[in-house]
Amino acid sequence: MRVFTVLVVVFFLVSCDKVTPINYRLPYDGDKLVLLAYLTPQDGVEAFVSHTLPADRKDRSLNKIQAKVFLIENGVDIDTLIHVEDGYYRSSPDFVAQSNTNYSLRVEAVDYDILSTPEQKIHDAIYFDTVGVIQSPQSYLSTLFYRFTDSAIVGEGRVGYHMLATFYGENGDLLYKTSERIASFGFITNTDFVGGSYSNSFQFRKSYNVGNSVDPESIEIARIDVELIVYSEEIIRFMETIRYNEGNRLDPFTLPVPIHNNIINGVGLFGSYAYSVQSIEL
Amino acid sequence: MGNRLFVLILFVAISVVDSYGQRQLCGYVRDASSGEVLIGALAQIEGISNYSVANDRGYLCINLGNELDSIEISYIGYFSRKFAPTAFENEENNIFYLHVADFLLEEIVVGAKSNFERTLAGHVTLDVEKIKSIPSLAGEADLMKAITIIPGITGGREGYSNLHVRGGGRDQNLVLLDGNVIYNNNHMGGFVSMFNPEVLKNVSIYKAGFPARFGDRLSSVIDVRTRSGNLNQFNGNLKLGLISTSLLLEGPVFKNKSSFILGFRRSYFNIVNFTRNFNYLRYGVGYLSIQNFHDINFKYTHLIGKKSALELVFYNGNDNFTYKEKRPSFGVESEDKSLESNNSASLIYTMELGQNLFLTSSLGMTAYNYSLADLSKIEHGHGSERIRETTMEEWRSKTKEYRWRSRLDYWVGGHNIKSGFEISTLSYGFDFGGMNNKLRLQDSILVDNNTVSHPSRSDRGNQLALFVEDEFGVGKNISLNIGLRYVVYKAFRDENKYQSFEPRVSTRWALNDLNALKFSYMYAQQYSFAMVQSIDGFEIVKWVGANSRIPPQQVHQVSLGYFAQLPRMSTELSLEGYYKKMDNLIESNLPLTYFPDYSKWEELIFTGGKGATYGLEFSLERNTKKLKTNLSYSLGWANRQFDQINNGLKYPFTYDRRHVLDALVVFPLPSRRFDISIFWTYQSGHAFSIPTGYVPDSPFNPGYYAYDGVNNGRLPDYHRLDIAIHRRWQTKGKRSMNFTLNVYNVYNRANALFLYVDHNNEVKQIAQFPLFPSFSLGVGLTKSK
Repeated sequence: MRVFTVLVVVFFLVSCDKVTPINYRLPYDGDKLVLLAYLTPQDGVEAFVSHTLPADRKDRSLNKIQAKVFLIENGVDIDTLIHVEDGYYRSSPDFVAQSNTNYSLRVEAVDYDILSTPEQKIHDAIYFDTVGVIQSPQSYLSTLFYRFTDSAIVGEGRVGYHMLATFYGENGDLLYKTSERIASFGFITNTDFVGGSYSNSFQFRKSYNVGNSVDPESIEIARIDVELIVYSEEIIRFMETIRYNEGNRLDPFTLPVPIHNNIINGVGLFGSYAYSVQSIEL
Repeated sequence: MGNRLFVLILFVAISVVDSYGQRQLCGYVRDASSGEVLIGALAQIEGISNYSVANDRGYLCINLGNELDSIEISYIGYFSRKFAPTAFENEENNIFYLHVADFLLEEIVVGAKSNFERTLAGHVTLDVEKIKSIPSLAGEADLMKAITIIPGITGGREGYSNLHVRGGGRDQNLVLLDGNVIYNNNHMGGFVSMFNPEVLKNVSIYKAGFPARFGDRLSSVIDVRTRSGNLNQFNGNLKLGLISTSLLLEGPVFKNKSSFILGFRRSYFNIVNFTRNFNYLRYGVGYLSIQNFHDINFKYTHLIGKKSALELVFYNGNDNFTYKEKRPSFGVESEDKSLESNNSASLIYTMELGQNLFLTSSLGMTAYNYSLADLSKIEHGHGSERIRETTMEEWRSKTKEYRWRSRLDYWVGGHNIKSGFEISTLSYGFDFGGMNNKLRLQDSILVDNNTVSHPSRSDRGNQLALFVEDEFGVGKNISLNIGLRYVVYKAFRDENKYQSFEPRVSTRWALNDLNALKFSYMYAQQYSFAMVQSIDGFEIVKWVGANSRIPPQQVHQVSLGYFAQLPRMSTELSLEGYYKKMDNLIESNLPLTYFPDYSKWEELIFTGGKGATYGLEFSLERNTKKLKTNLSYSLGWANRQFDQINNGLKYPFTYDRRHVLDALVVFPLPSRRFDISIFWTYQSGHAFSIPTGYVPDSPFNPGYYAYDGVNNGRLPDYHRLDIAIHRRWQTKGKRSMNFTLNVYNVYNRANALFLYVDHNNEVKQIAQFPLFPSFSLGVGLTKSK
């Protein structure tokens, strides 16, 4: 019996996962130029230029890149994007993207290969069929509901949709928003409701708690901006691969999902999306 | 193809005619003690390399020719017996009895020679006693893990019972339990294999040159036969281990006429988890974790007269993972339940139609079901708005196969011809259901109710296979096994069908009594494949079948080997090389870590993949009274190529391991009824994908890792030492006892299960199995005579 007890105790002591640092040098074949850029009918082109870093480098500060980003319309250079700050560029304020026109980008940077993108067309924004809030005086919760109809022609391919809500206080202060416009979770594609309408709802608190959930200093929500965003196939693939890569990165027994990359001579994405906004005053 | 078939039939016919008219002796080979048949026993005339193999009922015939030398009958793990042909004919009812040789105590493991003698390259038989002598994880002797000591076979991830044979996928192995195809050979997601070692009788592994009677897989056949039970007396054994207990009962129903064997195993992880579950069990709060498996093996054998037998075989295995959480203060209650069940049943009828003609016919069913249910209840709100929200989701998958197989074994003029057919239908299906309802607690009004479901889908693939194979000798030194398998496959609802002619050729050329060369070529197609879903580290297999969109997978494999025996050193060694080319492979196009819509499973995979694997395998086995040594080494390459993966470039298969070295040494100490087994393995790290850069945060997206290729890195090398001490003795009351102490990973090597970059950008490894002692105690339920 004594032997049995000792064995059971030893079993408990030793049978557990062990996480240890390991001296393993990750391969790195030098900095590559990174371009993340989006085309929208509302804001023109927004772009961020950076470079890759070794995956295991603790310091993730970037080198300054002297880059020029050229906007190309139907194969012809039409604009040079304005450098706003720290690698963030945008098209000139008077640029308005046209329907049925192909746009692409070219980036020239000192010490890097010239980088180019595939052509993208703008998406037309679509609007909610219905959107609103149901409030109950007895409840601390309200319900935001919405419905929209698929804009794609059946068989045309995948279009992604994403709903984003931004909550403001009485003074117009931004309280919080449900996600960024380009989000790897929460979007759906029209393959889930081909040609039909999609409706959904979610509940939210009428007051925004600064601290704990029972904070007496909570701020009443006064306005909600509800956005309906439409993604191109390129963005859907980018976001799907990011989602699966994150979910799968710690499991070596399934193939990794390389993040979708459509940049030639570099890393990143050039995609197109559109959004419409509807404000709801509470 | 028609011409090739004609030439093959002609060749076989000429060979048959050529040796027709020679004298034959036929009979059954059985265990002298229990009366059980010995499947795969060899009969051989001394001085001639040709031999005959006992079939599934232990029946064989041997052609005596003009020779009057003695005949040797051997079986792995038993003493060989030599007979003069006259004595052979005088054995009672043509039954030849062999006596068990103690693997640990005998100098020559009888039948080890069989692997040397057999025609088929890449064919290995494993002695069950040897399987039990190999140190194991958690003290559970595990067939699937023991098989990995064969060169060219690796076990995938540490601790799991998956097999990768010569760079093949885990679904490319035809696992047969008494002739029934098994679609999931694991318990606990792979931690324990489904095979209860106590009921095993015979294990044959074919990693190349499959005989034509086997098909529908690319990489290997693992033909597992269970014991049929003692025809003469009752026996029983109770085994208590660290994670499970097993009970074995066997005996005659009608003495010398019929027998049964019943094996039962059940885990008791719950006892191990008791302290963790205590709060839930006592107070109903906290969490409860239940992990259980059980399996039942049952076989009833009835001899009908002297020439026929009927066998009823049944297997049932179930796994249950349940996780419950109850936190009343937060209004949260949840339950996740994962259930797996494996069932297999068959009725096998065998009959001696003539002295040299034998019929085996079986009807079998096998089913593998999996379900995962997720239930959560959350209460929120106050007063009249107090709501209970109940969400339930359930995913189910089902695989079921019915198979009718009939085979004639015909011995004529030194030829052993096996021909027959298989008709099978494989059905598989998926469905998903879920609902969410919100109930106002105060007045019990349903506030909201949503039901969601993916369309369920069930499909079927029907298959007819005809096969013929002939094993025969050409002269004294050459033996051949030539076969052809014809398969026609049609998926339900598809108009098109697939058909294939699959030639199989194996030959053995005895250079002399002690040296031989073996060559084999095979072509095979695989019509059913597994999609592997990874959920929290557990792999769930979902089988699907070929259809008009997903073509069958194909393989061509050639294998060439040199085999030698060094009798003075009690040693047998072999060196084999192989090249395997595979087409139409599949791979998931996105990881199945979530629950995608399986009703559109064709959209979840890439097709048209190519695979190429090649390598060299070396094996050395030395058996003396003082030491049993088994050394194997393999050098291999395994690659894959898909248009849609890695930019269409070739990449290493995940379980591509360049070097694998396994050494098993057993020191018997017969005077003390002890033996000590030491096992050491070294394996090159397998391939995995490693980030080669980091894309920093942008105003639009958080940062992410970039990869320059698939499986572009290697895990650190893997090595481990295990020790097992076995002791067997008899109590004063003549009850047999045995005790095993296993120590897994003796020097506590932290072998990387995988590497990752943590939030401090530091590379870390996770090791899952450190030093792990375990034990088991076996108690005989009947007294020895």
